[in-house]
Amino acid sequence: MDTAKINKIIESYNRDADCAIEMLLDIQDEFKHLPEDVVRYIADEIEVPLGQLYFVGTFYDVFTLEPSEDELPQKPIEAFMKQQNDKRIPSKPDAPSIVFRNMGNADAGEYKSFEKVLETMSPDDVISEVEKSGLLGRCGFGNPTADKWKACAKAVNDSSNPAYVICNADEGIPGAFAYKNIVESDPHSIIEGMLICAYAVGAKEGIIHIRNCYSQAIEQMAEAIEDARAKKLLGENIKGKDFSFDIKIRRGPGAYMNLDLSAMLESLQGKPAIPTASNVPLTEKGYKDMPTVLSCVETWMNVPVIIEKGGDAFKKIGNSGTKVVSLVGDIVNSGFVEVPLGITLRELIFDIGGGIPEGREFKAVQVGGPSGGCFPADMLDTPLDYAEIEKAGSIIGPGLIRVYDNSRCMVEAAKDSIEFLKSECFGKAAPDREGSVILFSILENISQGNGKKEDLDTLKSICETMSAASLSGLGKSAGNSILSTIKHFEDDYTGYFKN
Amino acid sequence: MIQINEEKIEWRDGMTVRDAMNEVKYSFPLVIVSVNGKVIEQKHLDKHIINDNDKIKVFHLISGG
Amino acid sequence: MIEITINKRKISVEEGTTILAAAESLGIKIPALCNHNILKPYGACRMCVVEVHANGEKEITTSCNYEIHEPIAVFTDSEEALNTRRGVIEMHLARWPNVPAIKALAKANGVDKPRYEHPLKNESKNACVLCGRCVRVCSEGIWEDIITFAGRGAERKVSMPFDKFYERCAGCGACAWVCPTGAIQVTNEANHPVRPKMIRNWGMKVTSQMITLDDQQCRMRKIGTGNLVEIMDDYDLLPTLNYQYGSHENAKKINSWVWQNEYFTQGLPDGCWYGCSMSCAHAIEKFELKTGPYKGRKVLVDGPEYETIAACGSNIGNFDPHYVAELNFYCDTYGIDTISFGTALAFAMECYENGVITKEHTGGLELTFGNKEAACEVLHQMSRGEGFGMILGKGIRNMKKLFIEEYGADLDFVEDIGMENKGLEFSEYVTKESLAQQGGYCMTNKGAQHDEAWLIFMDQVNNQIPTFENKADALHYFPMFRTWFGLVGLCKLPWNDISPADNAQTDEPHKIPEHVEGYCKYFTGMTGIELDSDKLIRMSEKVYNFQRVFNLRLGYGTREHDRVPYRAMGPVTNTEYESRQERYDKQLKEKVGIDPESMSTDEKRLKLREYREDQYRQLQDAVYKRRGWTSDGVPKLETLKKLGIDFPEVVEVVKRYPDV
Repeated sequence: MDTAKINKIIESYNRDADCAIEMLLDIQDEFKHLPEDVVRYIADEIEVPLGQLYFVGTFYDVFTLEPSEDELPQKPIEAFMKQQNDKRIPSKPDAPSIVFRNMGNADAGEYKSFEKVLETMSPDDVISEVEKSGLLGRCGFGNPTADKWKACAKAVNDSSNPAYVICNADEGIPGAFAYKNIVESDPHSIIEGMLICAYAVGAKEGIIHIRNCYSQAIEQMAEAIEDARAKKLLGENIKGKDFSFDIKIRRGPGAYMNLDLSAMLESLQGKPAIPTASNVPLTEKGYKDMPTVLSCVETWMNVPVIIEKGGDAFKKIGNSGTKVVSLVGDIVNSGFVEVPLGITLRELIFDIGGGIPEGREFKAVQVGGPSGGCFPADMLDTPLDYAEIEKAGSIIGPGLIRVYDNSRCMVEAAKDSIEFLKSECFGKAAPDREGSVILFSILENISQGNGKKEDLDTLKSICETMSAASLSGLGKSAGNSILSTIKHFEDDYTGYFKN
Repeated sequence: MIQINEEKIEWRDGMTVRDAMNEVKYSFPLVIVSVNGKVIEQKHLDKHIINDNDKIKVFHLISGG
Repeated sequence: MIEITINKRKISVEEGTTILAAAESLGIKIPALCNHNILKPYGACRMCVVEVHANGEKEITTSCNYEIHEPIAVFTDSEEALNTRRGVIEMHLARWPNVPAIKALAKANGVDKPRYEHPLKNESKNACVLCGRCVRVCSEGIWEDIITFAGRGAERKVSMPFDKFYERCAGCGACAWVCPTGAIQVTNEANHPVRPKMIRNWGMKVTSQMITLDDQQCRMRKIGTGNLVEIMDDYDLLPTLNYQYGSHENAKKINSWVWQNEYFTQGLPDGCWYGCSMSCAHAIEKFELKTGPYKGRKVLVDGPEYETIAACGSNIGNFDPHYVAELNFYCDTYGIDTISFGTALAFAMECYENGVITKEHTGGLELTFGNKEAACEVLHQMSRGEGFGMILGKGIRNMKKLFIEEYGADLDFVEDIGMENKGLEFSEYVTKESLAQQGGYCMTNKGAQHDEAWLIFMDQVNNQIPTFENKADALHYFPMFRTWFGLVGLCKLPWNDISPADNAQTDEPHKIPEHVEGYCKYFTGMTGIELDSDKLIRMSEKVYNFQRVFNLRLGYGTREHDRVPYRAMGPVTNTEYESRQERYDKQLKEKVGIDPESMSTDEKRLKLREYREDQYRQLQDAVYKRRGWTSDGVPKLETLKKLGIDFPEVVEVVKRYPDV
């Protein structure tokens, strides 16, 4: 074993045990697997239990314990989406552009909003504008961003601990590439959003967590950070004021579970991405048990615009802003696109998406990726809005929208969804883990012609149990695809039953 | 006056068992405390109020590392 | 306190209490699988779900890890809670239908045959149900993190790294003990105990206590024996300036919090005994040395323990923790006992301060109390066999002889302050106010160390052994009991450095009866031989008396060798007398029956001495009688016979003495 080489890797992260995953990523890169003697050596050197590194090595798909020159098997998400999605669909000419406003624009990096904040606004003013804007978190369940900042600021006040501001750019839906494109197109706006938040809540350190294989995005973000530091927009005493904030880039292994914020914090500390079972919010005890504001990259992109235009004006853009969605499936224009919140699914699919190809008919749209519910044609006028989508029995989630044409079977759709969730499930909690396995097994039985009518009640019952008892969002929303397809496409199911 | 083991100390209004122990520097954690013959649980020592003329026994277990 | 209701019953709880615990206190048992009372809540099995109404909202949530911070209404058996719970138990039953613990939970909660087939069904009775208790106890309890989870989702399993036996596993058995299904087995190789389950069950009692109670007791896992520094200081027992005093205003500079917060970097099991949950050894990493052959290097200091802190700290007047650690390191490196070093140096320092020895004798070293640099230098000299270090290295007994015979020292003064017995330097407790402990130190076989008995609290604070007979009983039981640890090779700390929660309710709480029984059980479990407390004492008595005869054969085992240097009995100097004048005057009045009012300090001091020396003589009489020895401290023939050690060689030694 070449200890000099391995020491170099360890030293490059300042021997920080939190960076264990990054160290292992470098090892995987170097050796095409994780050799046992190397892992043992690292565990000793950075003083973490060998079991922790072994768990990490067996948890994330990016690692292998055995050497293999072959391409790793197709990841479930790619199987789910049936295609990669690195294409941007052009928006309508009058469509609001918030997230992609600076794409290809040389003016990026001006930090005008942050300067406005620094010179003329108090932390309370900032939070007030964000509150007026009605901005909801874009990563998953659409919680009000201002509430997070308020709670964090209070926790900082109560505990005299500084806060952490964290950006998740680990691409929850690998293959969707939306986050990748956001980071590559406009890294400065992300930094600016985080700066504004840090100012508002009392943070000194920030982290941007980027998926490891997005090397270009990582490079561009690193450059942007250096740039900002040179302009005295990051570091100690920013612009000569009594406000210091700096940002570190951390590389992530890529996991669907990293959509769960508490799970993501685990991976930032060199552990498997497993959600913590705690009713204490992350704003109070988050990263290293400190008050933390953790949001995805898309949320951060909105913050400078809120300051620039003011919260009231922002609220009027779409329905409090836009959403980057990935349109996939049976659709003419597939790719990612920024749309105003409140746009109807009909507009999204037929206008922007160009409708159904090959002369087929629309059958269903699944909003929110594999955790999402499937809507039939008579729900196409549902607006893409957090509250409305939830009422309709789904979530916006990471914004993956999959269209099915009339040649598709919705039982297969539900089965694909559950198969994905089953394989990505973290595994700690019984209902999440067993439930997804059992649901898949029943759906598989049905789709092979071995099901019976009673199975529908059983499926519903299991989904209910999972919704109530699961530890994770993945578990709680696993039932959405099944419940919605039973509700709206029961014929697809009964078509399999023998009597 | 309060008797605490062999010592006699002044009583104060609102004095707790812990206050009395602190005054004679009984800081050893492995003790069994009784007030007028009734054992007081460890978790209540900080709150249990004592009265004038109470007799406190602080039975120490063995120390010496 | 927060007012909540559980199933409409009102209860007041401390903030932070979990719903599960609150319900338990009302006698409501909520089903749980992954929960365990010695481990932190885990929230994996999700069986403990309840319905909670808070802030006008209702949710289904797990109760094991829900900390109560505001008034809530809990319903453990609402329709939704029950349905959810049953759904969860059904999933477990479907996967592990034959595991008794799961079957019992299913039966008790109205779950029949599952409505579906589980594709990963495992029919074994001992299947692992992924509750994680084993992983958690190895991590939270034993601090070894040997067992781990591996894999994601349905691939999740319990494993050791790289799917093979991890050589660091000591087989402590904690994982097997907490496992609800028997999936983990401890294989009984190595030394083949006859009844391994007995050892594990009794050992796990102590481990459970260590995990759940140590933080509120002696903090052995956090700080180890160092927790005693401030306690001994409070009770006036911390040896200070060669045992002249029992406390010092600077003791706070070397107390346990200083070590815990500023020095110790390890809270890990250090390999003293792999798998030991007391994990009391603590160390300082990357400690930069200021003196000696390794000056400037960053080293690991294994310690310091209480004795070292006292010996190389307060006893030599050094309150600089860095130097305590430095002396600890070099003593370890040179193979020198820190206690002997510190106590011997304290003696030399007091001699120096009183002009018994001078710079001429010390080769220029200024051995004043607190001269930490000189302390280090003399230690380095000792290792090289040079200078005054060479002299100090011969110990107090030899130094006394040298100082008296060759430096013209006053014999009485030097004998009074030279804290040794049978040639062994005293360990670090002030015994002036405890007659029993004077016996505990000096009526020993090996010399002045508390390994045989520590009776100070029983004697001085509890007044539990007021008569000579009481003291003699204690000086029989404890030395015999404590000798036994050495005979079987077991650590004594789990006996009394942790106490069971219900120890207060026992008849003799100072003996920690549950742990005494535990040690008997370890013996029986190992050998198959039944042992109780009486038999245990008898085992030791044989050896103890044999040791005494051994000492006799070497010329040491009689009454005169059990003599106590007066510094360990009372005030040697007037300054010492005056530092505790009130207490000593009181004793003269109450015990000796004289009025100290009109006496000079000199007179009082001498009167007190007379009294105390006489007390010790009476104690010797009582103890020897209790032990079955002659008034000269020689084991009688009938005692040897009774103990079955009246071997010819033994009798040969003993019969030379009168009255045997």
